[in-house]
Amino acid sequence: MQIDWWTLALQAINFLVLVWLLWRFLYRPVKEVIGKRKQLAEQAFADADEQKSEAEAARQRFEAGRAGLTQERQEILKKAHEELEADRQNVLGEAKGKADELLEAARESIAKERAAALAEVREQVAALAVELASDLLRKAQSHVSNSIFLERLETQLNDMPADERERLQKDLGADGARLAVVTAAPLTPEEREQWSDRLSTCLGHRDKTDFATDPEILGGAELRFPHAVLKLTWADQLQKAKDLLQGDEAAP
Amino acid sequence: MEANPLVPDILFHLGPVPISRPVLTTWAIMAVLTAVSWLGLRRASIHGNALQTVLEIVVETLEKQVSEIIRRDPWPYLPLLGTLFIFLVLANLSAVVPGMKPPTAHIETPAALAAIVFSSVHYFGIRSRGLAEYARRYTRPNLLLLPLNVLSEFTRTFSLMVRLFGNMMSHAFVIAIVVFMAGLFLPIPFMLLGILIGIIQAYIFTVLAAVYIGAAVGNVEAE
Repeated sequence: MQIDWWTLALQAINFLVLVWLLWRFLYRPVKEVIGKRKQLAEQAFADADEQKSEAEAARQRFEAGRAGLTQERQEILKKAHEELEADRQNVLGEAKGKADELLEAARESIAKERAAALAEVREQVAALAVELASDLLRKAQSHVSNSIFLERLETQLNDMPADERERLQKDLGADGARLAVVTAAPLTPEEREQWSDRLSTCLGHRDKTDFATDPEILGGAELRFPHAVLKLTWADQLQKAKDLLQGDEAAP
Repeated sequence: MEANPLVPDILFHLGPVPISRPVLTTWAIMAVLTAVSWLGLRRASIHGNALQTVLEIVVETLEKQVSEIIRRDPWPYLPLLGTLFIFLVLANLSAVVPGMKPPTAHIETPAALAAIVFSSVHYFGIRSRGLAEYARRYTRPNLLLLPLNVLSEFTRTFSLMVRLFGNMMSHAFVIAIVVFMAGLFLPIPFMLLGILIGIIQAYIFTVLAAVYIGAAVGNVEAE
């Protein structure tokens, strides 16, 4: 075995030179390209991340905007609801006021009609009662004594205040003045005499008494002075009763 | 067979330096590799041409292989190991070119490569671990094993050299004998087999070199 040391040394040098050459022309350019590519990829990833974060930020802004819009929409809706509710309350209030007014007017109208109807009924009832009483009194005329009325009139004259009785006496004392005693049925001569005496005693004037009949007074008697009338008749009592029956406003 | 086939042919002299056929073949390979690399990567860009893409694939494949063996950043070791593989492939396959003989069929070229690997293992080991720590690994697991460890350093380098040289030299001999005995066409299958052998030997040489370097720089799995 023989070794050529020159060749061995040259091959070692050749190989080391080749290592340098390939490092210079092969490995380093490839490494740089790979580095650039990696850098570009990282840049692309970074850009993608940045774009992703920007998109996320945009999405968040959009969400915030949308939330703001939703809130604004809700506020607008709430405001509109409140306005509508206020309008509704106003309309309802007005309608209720009008309805109350209508109801009040209707109540008043009903009350008036009811009062009118009641008054009419009362009037009719009073008229009917007075008519019934009048019929009864006409039929019972003959059975009632006139002396009772005479006594009552006499008592009324005696109980009258003095000045008023004097005024009646003066009224009767004038020339030609006469006292008319009106009854429903004609008095008998004895009754006329009795009436004339007792009235003369009360009023102080004789022979000034006339007697007349008026069936309309139904019963009792009326003393008709020249300027005054003293009534104690069934007709007068019935009229008072009728006024009472027809209501307070009609009562004296 | 008039001369010793194990002795390289001296083609000419440059002054006192004899230039043998393996050296000339190696220069040719260097020129081709440099030219191809320069052509492919003189305007290296991200969107490269076809040749750049092929070169990138080659380099990235080598990077991946070295990375898987050494288990660390492959770039400090790639120029040596990658160049070793590429050169050995081309040197072993140069036999298919008419008139060329593989430089690795002579002992000088494998010896030179084995010497460079031997030196590189220690260079990378010391650079990675420091001199004391690197030297201490020869005393493990026991100080008694120091002679054996040192001896194994030389024997494995020697086996590296002899394995490559033996395979390629014997293959060249087989081809020469078959050509001599059987004519032109019969050696073709043997030459195809030689391509396979050449690639396998280049791979084995490179992988073993990577394993040695990986062990030296502290690859736990390799140790």
